Parts: sequence; C-alpha cells; structure tokens
Amino acid sequence: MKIDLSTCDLNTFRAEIESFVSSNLSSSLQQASRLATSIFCDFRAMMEWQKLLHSNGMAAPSWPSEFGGCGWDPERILIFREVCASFDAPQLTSMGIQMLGPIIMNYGTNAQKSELLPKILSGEDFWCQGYSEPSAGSDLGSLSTKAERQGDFYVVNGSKIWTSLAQHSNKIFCLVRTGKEKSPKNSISFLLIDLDTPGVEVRPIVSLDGTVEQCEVFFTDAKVPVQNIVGEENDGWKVALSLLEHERGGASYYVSLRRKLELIKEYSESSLVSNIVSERCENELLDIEADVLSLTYLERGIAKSSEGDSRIGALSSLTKLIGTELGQKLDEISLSLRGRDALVVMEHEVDPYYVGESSACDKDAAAFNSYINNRASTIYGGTAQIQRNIIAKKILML
Amino acid sequence: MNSEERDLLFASVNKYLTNSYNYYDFRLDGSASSESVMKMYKETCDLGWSAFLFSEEVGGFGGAAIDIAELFEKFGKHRVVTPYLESQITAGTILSCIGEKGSAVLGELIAGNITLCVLGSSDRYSDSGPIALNLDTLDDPACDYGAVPWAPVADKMLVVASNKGEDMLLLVDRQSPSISVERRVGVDGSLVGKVTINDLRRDSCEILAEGSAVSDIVKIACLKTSIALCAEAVGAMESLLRQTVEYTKTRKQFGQPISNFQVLQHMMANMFVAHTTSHEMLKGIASEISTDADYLAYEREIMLLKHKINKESKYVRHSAMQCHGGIATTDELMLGHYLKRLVVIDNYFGGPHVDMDRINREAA
Repeated sequence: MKIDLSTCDLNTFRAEIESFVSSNLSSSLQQASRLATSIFCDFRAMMEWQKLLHSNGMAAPSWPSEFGGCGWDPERILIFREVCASFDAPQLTSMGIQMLGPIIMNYGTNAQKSELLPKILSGEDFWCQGYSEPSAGSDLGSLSTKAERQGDFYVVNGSKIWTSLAQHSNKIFCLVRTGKEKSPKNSISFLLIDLDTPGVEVRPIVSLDGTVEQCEVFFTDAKVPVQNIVGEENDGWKVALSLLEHERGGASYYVSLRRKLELIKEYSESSLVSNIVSERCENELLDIEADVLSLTYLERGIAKSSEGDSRIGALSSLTKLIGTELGQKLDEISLSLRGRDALVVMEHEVDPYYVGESSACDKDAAAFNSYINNRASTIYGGTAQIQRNIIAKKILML
Repeated sequence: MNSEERDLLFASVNKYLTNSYNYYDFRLDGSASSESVMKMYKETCDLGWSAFLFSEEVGGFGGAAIDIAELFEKFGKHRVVTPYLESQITAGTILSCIGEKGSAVLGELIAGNITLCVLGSSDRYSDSGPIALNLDTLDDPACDYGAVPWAPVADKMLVVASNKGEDMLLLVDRQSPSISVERRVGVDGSLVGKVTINDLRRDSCEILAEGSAVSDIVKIACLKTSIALCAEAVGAMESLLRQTVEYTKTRKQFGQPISNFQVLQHMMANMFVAHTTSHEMLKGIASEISTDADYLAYEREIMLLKHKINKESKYVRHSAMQCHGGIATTDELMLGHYLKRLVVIDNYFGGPHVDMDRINREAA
C-alpha cells in the first residue's frame, strides 16, 4: 500500500523521507553538498539532485499540488529539509522554486502559470534574479534600468549586478523602471526576460575564491514582449517586496546551521586538531549550539504560524539576520581550527567530481572558501544593517 | 486544566500584578519587613497560583513546564519579589518527587501555609556537591551554606547531604538548634539568609529519601528551577525592551526624539533579537516537557537555555541602561532593579562560567 505523505503521521513521514533520500542520494552528490562553500552547491550536482527529486514529485515541497508541488504543511516541509540536510543532500537554488514560483502563483496570468511553473520544477528553465544595480544596492528603490513601452514590447536599457548564477541561467526576472515617479511604489514593474534576447549580455564576476557565482547583466535596447510582465505595470514594487520575504524567510537557516555545526564539531574532535585549539573552541561552539537551538524553535514557530501572520515580512528579517551572522561565526571557528592548513588554495579538494587521491577525513576542506564567500551573506538579500532597520521600523515602530 | 480555566487564571494574575503589586512597596531594604511579601505569598497561593505549578497527581492543577514558564515570565515582567521560586519550585519539586513521605508537607506548601528552602552545596559556585554531614557522631564541624535566598522566612529546610558517602534528603525544622540563619537583604530586594548547620542529629530531622534516587530528584529540581529562572529573565528582558523603546521615543536631544538615531535603533533591534530568540527557545523547550523524566531527557537543552539567557540578558540590560543615559543609574527608575535581578539570575547556580562548564561536564 502506498503511504500518503501529506496525511500520514509525522514519524512515518520522516521515516519515508529518510528512506527515499538515503536510497537515491549518491555519494558524489553528498560530497558536493559537504564541499559547498556558499548557499550555492556545485551546479551540476544541484541540477542532478533537482531532476531526481522532480521525477519523484518532490522538487517543490512547499508548492500546492495543483502546480506540481507536494502541498505539504509547514511541519512536513521542515522535516523534509532536516532529513535532506542530515544526509548532506545538495541544496536546490532558491531563485526558481523558492522565489519566482510563489510570485507567479500569486500575481501571474494563467498563461504564465501553465507555461513557466512546470519548467521551473523540471529545471528546463533556470532563473536568475535581476534586482541590484551598480547604483541601487541597499537603496533598491532607486534602481534605474528602464523599460519603455513600444507597441507590443518593452525596450529595456540598463544593467543589473550581483546576479547569482546568471552564467548558468536562461532567464532572468527583473525589476525595471516603467514610470516617471521617483517613489518606487508606482513606477517599477516586474518583468521576465529571456537571456538570449538580442541586446542582453552576461558578464561573469570572479569572486575572491576564484570561482564565478555572480554576474553582471547588461541590457541594450532589449525587446521584451509585454505579456512578460508579472502583475500590473508600475505595480512591481509590491511584487518585489513579497519576493524579498521569500528570499529571506523561506530558507529555514537552522537546518543547514545544525548540520554545519555537527561537521565542525566532528572535525574539531578529530586528530587533525590540536587539543589546545579544540578546547578553546569548545566554549565558542557551545555558544553557537545554544543560538542554533533557539533559532530552531524560532523558525519552527514562525513556520507553524506563518499563514496570515502580517509580521512575516519583518520576522523574515529577524531569521535572516540571525541565520547569516551565526553562519559567519561558524566559519570563523572552522577557520581557526585549521591553523596553517588554511594557507593553501583549495583546488581538487573542493571539486566533488574529482577522481583521484584525496584526504578522506577532511570534511572541512572548504573552510577557507566558505569563510570568504559567506562574508557576503550579511550583504546580499538586504544587509544586516537594513534588516535591523526593518526590525526597528516595522516591529518596534521606532 | 482546560484553556478557559487557564485564561481565567492568567487574567487574575495580570490583574493582581497590575493593580495590587508595586516593586517599591514590596522590596526589602535595610529596615523593611518581609510582611507584605509573605502576605502576597499566602494570598496568591489561595488564588491558586501555587497549585498551578503542580500536577494533579500531587494536588495541583497544572505543573507542565510551560505553566511554570508562563507564570514566572509574569513575575519577571513585574519584577515580583517573592519566595515562590525557592519554596514552590525547588523545594516543591523535591517534595513532589519523593512520594508519600513528602505529601503532607507538600499539601501545606501548596496551600501557602508554609515556606521552604533547600540547602544544597556549600561553596559560592554551588559546585561542590552535597555537603558531608555526619548524623551519628558529635564531632561534626559546622557547615557553611553561604547565602540562601529567603532562608530567614523558611519554616522548614530541605537539606541535601551526604552521610557516610550516601546521598540523603533531610527535612529539618527551621527552629532546630542546629540551624542558624543570619538575616541579610538581597541586592534584588529579596531576603537572604547566611545559613550554617551545626551538629545536626538523626533525631532532629526527618530522612525523606536516601541512596541513588536522591541525585536524580535534586537534578530534576535544579532543571525545573532553571526553567522558572529563565522565564523570569525573559519577562524582565521584555520589560526592559518595552521601557527602552518608550523612553527613547520621548527623550529629546539635538531637537528630536533619540529614537530617530540609527545607532540606538540598531541597539534596540538587537535587544529585540535577544529577547525574541530567548523567548522562543524557552517556549519551545518548555512546551516539550511535561513529566519529571522529560526534565532529565532535556537536560542539555535546558542548560543551553540558561547559557543563552545569561548571554542575552547581559546584552539587553546593558543596552537598556546605555539607551536611557544617566537616569538609568537612579533608584527611582525600575530599569536598574530589573538589571539587579538579572545579575542574581546569572549567578544563581554559581555564575555563567559554572553554568557553561556544567554543560560539558554533566550534560555532554
């Protein structure tokens, strides 16, 4: 008899997911996840895992079943994520499933829903996010990429920056200025653009760890069909804000932090680390364990009460702030545990598909890259300072 | 207890604390007596507050960790000066764990007719384990228990001792000639006794439990006390945050409310983070604990909670003081009194370092 995962009791649910993940996750995918040095896992590994999940109907646990999701309640979604993290399954990227999907469901036309949602799930479309611009970072509302209506097209001019994984993407969702008003509330639209449109150019940005995760995207008289707008013209700011909340809040930071903490503890107790160093780190790790535990209860509480909670936007600022700052603390500890080994640039050690000799016990090989890359976590998606502003204004009413 | 009865109880708690309680009228300073505190203790026991802290099996109508947490959060919020923690929670838990032998005293305790306190270990870090007493010979040296909250008003003492290597729980009358209590006033407006025991004899005390069961009973009592203490701290942090937000909106400097300044806004946002994470952790852990055995199963989580509270309370109270400026240093403003109590909570089991060390030693 087939078990209905949406209605069975939670222990059965957990056992079912565990058995699914353990029997479908290959060791190279696990390795890729352990070696991930930012929120983005190795692209090939991530897409391989997404296809596998998709063929079993599990690519989008949080989507309603009418759109091809699992339709699970918040508790099941968190259990699913916890199990995936405990087996070191690659984390899927958030741009399509987490961020754009819910926007299309809420604001998209029927044609957009039926055309775009299945391709997000299958991975046929890979989306990137065109929000930030060189002169519009924290002050996102001042963005200046323009879309002018000409007949059945918008003609787009301007540029976007910090576009994660644009080099792997075929599509980009953008905030563009369509109105003359200065306030973003009535002058910005949410536009979907094919990256192979003439006049669109993607230029990679090499990060401090030597890899490319970020890009710049330039638009020069790029013609975009008017039906690619999501929501009404000049009403995109509302859409954008709801998406930012998905970006910040949908992530359940505790899940990956718990796993990361476990791996670092394991490493700190291994023979690779001197006693003096591991003793010093013990108390710091205890501090973080307490913080991660409190974040766990906080995020579980929010997930259970999120439906209809008008504060969800501000609460997503809270978890984003805590989650990213904790991750950075863990990276610092990880780095100090490695001593002089941190001097060497990692090459094949962080390549999940490397075939050859590698030191098997060093699960923390990616420590330096992780440290460097995660400095960005308190900058992207609204800086830690912007999140504090939001808490001060929206929650404390200052 | 159904949710309607629960709401009713908390409505009465809120009403009482808002209308009939005021820290300045109840706190003890040099000359004041503990009369109002003890009157409130009895009155509120009559209102069912103490019974709410115990399960039905032992004569109460609540007793889950979340019940204890919610009541003590209110105590923290209103900066209530009371021996509830020592008497009802620590001593009450021990009595309720030992079954038949404790039930008569427990009944009196829940009714608010008596006050108890527990004498545990001796040194100032509460870290030396049960004190060795010798109940059978006369050459027993005096045992110094140090500062014990509310000992001067206790009618009976529960003594955790070790007699010839075996753990024991003893019930001793406060009037026993073996016990001497020096009356002092606590920094948090409470009453504290410096307690010594001299030549305690078998015939002047009742042995409530002995042997291997004692250490678990004491542990459960400590963990339950931790939950209540942490809840009190969370309530105090909430008041500090609220008062700070209100004050910065009214206090003007440079021609505008100081809440306009981003540096202060970020301090208050951090205070919010500190309070919210502490509160959610408390609520999350407490709602998963109902039986005594659950406390032992959640030992590490509860100790991590105490550790977290130590850290966050320090941030909240120091930021609150800093945002207020000079006025925060006065006796006239409640702020400093919350701060004092939070320091007492920090050091209740010997201090933050002792708390931290215990996690690694005892709850690995």
